[in-house]
Amino acid sequence: MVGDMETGHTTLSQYLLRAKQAISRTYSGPEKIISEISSIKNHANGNVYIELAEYAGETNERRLIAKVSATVMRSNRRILTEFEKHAGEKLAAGMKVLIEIQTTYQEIWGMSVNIVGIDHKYTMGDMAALVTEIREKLVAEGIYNRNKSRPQPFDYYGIGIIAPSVSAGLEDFNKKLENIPDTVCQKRISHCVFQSDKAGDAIAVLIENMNKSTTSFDAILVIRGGGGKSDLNYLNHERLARQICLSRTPVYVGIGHETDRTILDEVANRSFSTPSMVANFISEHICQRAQDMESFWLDISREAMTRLKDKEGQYRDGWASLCASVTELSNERESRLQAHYHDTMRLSSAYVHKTENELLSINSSLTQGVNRAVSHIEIAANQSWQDCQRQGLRRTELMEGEIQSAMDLLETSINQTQRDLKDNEERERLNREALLAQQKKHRAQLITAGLVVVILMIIILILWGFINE
Amino acid sequence: MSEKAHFQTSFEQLKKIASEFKSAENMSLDEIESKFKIAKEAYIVCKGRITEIKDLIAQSEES
Repeated sequence: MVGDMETGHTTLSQYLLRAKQAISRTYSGPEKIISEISSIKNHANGNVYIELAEYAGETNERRLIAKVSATVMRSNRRILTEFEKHAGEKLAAGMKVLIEIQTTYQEIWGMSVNIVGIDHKYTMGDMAALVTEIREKLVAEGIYNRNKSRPQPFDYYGIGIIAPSVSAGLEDFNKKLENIPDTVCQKRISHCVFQSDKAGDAIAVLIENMNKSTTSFDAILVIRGGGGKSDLNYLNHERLARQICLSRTPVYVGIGHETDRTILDEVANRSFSTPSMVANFISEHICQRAQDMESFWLDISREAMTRLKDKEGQYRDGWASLCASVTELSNERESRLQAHYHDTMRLSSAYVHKTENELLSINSSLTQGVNRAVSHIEIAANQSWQDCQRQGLRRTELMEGEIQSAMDLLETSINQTQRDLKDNEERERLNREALLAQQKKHRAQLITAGLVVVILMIIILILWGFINE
Repeated sequence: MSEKAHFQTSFEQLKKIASEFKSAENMSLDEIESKFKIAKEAYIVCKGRITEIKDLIAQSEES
């Protein structure tokens, strides 16, 4: 063994050379091994990097006992194509495979495991078998799609978060959501281990408690960032998967990396490749709801304003049209009225003229008629006058005769009356004389009677005096 | 009714009215007024949350 010339100590190259020689002796040629593929990544340089893993224990109690990173060199990629051709699917994480590997060691690059052959007869690995077993049980119980089919919340006012206490992925997650205050969305974080045999039970209990909590959660998020593929096997847990199925609250799973999938991704309401994507989804949903609402309101305001303006325009147009119609109608009526006026004036003038002529004609006729009537009346009157004169003379003559005879008779009567009057006067004188004589006689009788009475009175008075004395 | 329920009801109302405004060709003045009034009431109910979220968006855009 050759050491450093000055100090006598072994150098790094000398030390690693021994390691190289030991590995070269141990792994002298390619060997076939059985392993499970934890992850598989295509690199830009053409190489494909595959993480190989081995687990111990039964379905729910599996634990990782070995893992190593292997490479399919660009020059050897044809083995992947051949595998896909024969197995019917691409080589993927979760598959159990029989591979031929060549292990080498170089002082500068370290140990490298190169995959030089793949037996396509091994297409299913232990991890995939476990997932299949859990899936079949949940399907048989009729709960496999229960959480998946739950309606997504309208918006997020409260979320329960289950995550490891320390995780790069959680920091990313927190950065995305930390700006959203609790007044908008209340966040309750519960920490628990994710890379442990107890992870499945612990997470299941937290989900159960969040469902029983008085705090109303719109979603429960199970998130974990980074980590190796083999660590995910702890999450292929039957109780945990069942609890997610039975959760009344939608469960969102965000477990990195993008190529990592577990049974939780299958049964959860929504599955995301990373915690950051869950945070993005929640925050974008909250913002989108608010923006949608704002947008609806703006649309309504704009539309209402447009419609009101349209109405105003319609009313303005209608008013202008109405004014124009009224003016047009007014002008038309006016011209028609003027035409009527002129027609009427013309007709009335003609009528007046005609009527005047008719009246003049009537007047002339009437004058002639009156004149004729007057002359007839005059003739008739003259004739009547003459008749009257003739009859009057005859009557006068007759009356004169009668009057003469009446005068004679009257004279006779007067004479007779005069004679009667004289007779009566005489008789009257005689009667008057007789009456005067009778009056004298009566007067004498009265005086006598008066004297007697006076005497009697005096006698009575005298007697009365005596009596009183 | 909880704030969440109010928000959802208001959201549905606004969505419906916005859709009606877009689809209806003719709308009377009374209809426009009544729909706008309902929309305004619905918006006011949720305005606090919307404003808070809008502020967050503005802050994140600035940063």
